[in-house]
Amino acid sequence: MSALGEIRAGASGRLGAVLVLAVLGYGLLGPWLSPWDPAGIMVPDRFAGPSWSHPFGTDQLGRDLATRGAYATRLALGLAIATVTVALAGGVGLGVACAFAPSRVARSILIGFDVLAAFPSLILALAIIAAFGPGLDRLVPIIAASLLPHFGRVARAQALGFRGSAFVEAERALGAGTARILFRHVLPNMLGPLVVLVSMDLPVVVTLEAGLSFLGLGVPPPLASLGTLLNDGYANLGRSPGPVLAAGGVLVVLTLGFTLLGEALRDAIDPRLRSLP
Amino acid sequence: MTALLAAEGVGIGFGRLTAVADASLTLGAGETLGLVGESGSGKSSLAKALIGLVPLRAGRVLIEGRDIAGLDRAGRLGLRRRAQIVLQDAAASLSPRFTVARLIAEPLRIHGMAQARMAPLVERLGLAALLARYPHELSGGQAKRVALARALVLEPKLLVADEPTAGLDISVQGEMLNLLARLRERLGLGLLLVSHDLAVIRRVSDRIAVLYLGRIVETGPTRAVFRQPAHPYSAGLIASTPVIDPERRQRRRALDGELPSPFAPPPGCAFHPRCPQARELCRRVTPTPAVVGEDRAASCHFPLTEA
Amino acid sequence: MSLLDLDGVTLDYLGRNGTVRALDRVCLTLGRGRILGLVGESGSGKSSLALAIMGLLPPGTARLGGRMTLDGADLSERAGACRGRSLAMVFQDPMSALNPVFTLGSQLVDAQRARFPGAPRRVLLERARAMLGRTGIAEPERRLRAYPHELSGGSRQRVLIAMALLCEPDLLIADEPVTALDVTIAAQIMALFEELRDGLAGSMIFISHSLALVSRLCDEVAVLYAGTLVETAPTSTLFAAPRHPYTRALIACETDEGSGRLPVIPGTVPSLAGPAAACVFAPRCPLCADRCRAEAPLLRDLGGGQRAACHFA
Repeated sequence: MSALGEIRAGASGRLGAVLVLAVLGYGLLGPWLSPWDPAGIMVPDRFAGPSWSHPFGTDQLGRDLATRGAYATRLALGLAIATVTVALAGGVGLGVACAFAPSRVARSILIGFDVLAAFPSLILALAIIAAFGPGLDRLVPIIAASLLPHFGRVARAQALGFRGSAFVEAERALGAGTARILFRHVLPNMLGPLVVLVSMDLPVVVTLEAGLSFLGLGVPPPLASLGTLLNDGYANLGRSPGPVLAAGGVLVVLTLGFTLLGEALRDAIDPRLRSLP
Repeated sequence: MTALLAAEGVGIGFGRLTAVADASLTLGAGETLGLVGESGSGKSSLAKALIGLVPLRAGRVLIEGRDIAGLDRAGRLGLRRRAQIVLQDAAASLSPRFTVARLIAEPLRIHGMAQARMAPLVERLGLAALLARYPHELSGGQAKRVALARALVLEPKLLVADEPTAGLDISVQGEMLNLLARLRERLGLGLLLVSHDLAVIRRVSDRIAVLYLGRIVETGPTRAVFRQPAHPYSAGLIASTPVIDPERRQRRRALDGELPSPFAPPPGCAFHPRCPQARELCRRVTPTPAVVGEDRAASCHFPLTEA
Repeated sequence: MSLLDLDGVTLDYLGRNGTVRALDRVCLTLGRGRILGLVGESGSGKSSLALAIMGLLPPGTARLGGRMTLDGADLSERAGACRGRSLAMVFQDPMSALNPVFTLGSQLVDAQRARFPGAPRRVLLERARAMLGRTGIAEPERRLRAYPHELSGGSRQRVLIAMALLCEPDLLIADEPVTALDVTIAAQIMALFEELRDGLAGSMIFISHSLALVSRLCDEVAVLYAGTLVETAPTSTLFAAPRHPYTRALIACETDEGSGRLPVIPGTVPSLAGPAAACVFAPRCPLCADRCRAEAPLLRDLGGGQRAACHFA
């Protein structure tokens, strides 16, 4: 059975896939379909409960929560994908280089990873924002930097494993150069575990961004972010639980969905890897 | 006539570990040389070093009269075209995401040779039906044939087969060995066969080299060595090989003692702790190869002679 | 009365892609004090048979049929109780059969607990020391305190043999005990088996893919092919006059003729799903006739203790 087939077969994988699709739909189609302006302040309608025109109600400034939630989700996903891509490219590049480079270079790269990994991501983010000020463009490198060592170490371990494998030895015996071995034989075989890692790290990034925005250090207003939604909602919790539930709900669904999908992918790919020579 | 392969005083090591020391041998075109040894003998390392896959610490190797060390990139590629290897675990030596067709075509692609060269070999090895399969869909024997095709598609002069019958049932081992013999005749290959299985070596090799703890202890024509081994280890190894003997006619004396670890080789002759005829000299001085007969050599201070 | 009696033993493995028949109606008896060589290639079912006798088949996926009795008692219920007492096994890979985090002494003591429950540790340790000496381990007292990784492959196998013998089993099963060892070390272990055979009170089943190994050690030989017992005979009879084509071919493959093309059995071992309707060896047999493809031959008594499953034996 192919990997996809096995995911479809497992209940949690199916659930994960459904949740992820739901979130993607919400984030991509929501802003497009919604009649409301996410920044449109309509004070008379503040703290409205759920209704046909406001599925999630409104916030303290009368803005439609469903719309704000959709824009926030889109932003969160976009940020997560951008960040993970940067971290992946950097991590895999450095990790593979580490596996194939002379030992002094490899050691310096590893020390670099250790230094980056030593900082708890939130503290690192706080430090950089304190130094350079908040902003969307600041977030990507910060979060990517905290994620990079993780990808890097996994990539290195994978690459080392393949470097010592019989088929790489056979390719060398046939005359293949290092570049050929790397791009045709090592990297394609690393894809599987990396895909799993990506899908399990996406919710981490989303949560990190939400956390920063919650603290006011992430996305500036009036842009909608899941974190700012939560913050606004938290401040007005006495008046209406709607905002907190809406933003929190989206976060939970997103995190749960990606994690379940990631775990299903991992289980689908692992036995495959084990059965390979 | 220049031998196809000539090794002189080859030494191989990794850090403090010496895998092979002072190994010298020759192989002619169209000849089969069997490298025999148990764990720690260094036979696989030696075989790989002889075709340039493992760096030498000492000595030199000449293929068709040319030194294989110090070659530039073009020279190394040329070497790959002249000397190839089929690795011990054939299935593991096939890149898991490549189909059989792509696997066999790849060496041609690396060396810029025409894809058309694949066809006759695919035919001869019976791989036509397997071209679309992936390595994990092949049986052990099929994987070995694919690995063989990859090695032979470059039309090398020298082929190393590392444990070609490992993992195969006895009833099909003959198939692989017959195939190797046929290919050797047809293509005029020099074949270097590495095995721990004396029965396999005996059937297919013209000459053999016996290794013990990184040293070649005996070389000579297969028949002669089996009939009258000159080195006590060769004698012990031959005596230890099981043969069908329901009446228990053969007096079998197993060699005592353990195989020494390559990290802690015994002083003098490495075999002396287990040798039934070890003497004081053997403990102190490492023997070097000495001629013991026609085209035969043994590294022993007191080689066994015809009774 | 014979010690071990296998009557129509059938073993199916239930898998995702259907059922595989590993053993098909195997009938075998083993007398007391006898050594039986069980020979077969990959897919023959020899290891499965050993596991079946020991009661170590994977639960759930293995379905066992037929009767197996040890000393009159039905094994399908009592195998668990017999292990470590009347039944003992030596496995192929000595390293994975020993627990790496316990000393050899404690593992050897543990192995005797089934046979001698309640005996003081001191006594069991002394028995272990004596047995290590008998199986050729040098400095047994020191070795009792050693860990498995400190020993070589050959020594570990000696320890495993000692472990099995300490139970004083009625039946010892050795599953390819020398296959993973170097040639000269394997010869030592085979010599050990030959030494021990006379002092051995119980019976032994020696499983191997090599006819040569069983030829010296065993009193009787049974040949398995694709789950079917194709021939059994006393050792000398089997090699002097093999009656089944597969046995003959196998002997030819292992006999060193020295030159020319090597004998081969063309084709591969089939994997069966369900009872064999035809002779399992038919596709590869030089004597195959229409009858062989239509009717599976049963094990027939040919006299002199020899039985073969062939229409033309």
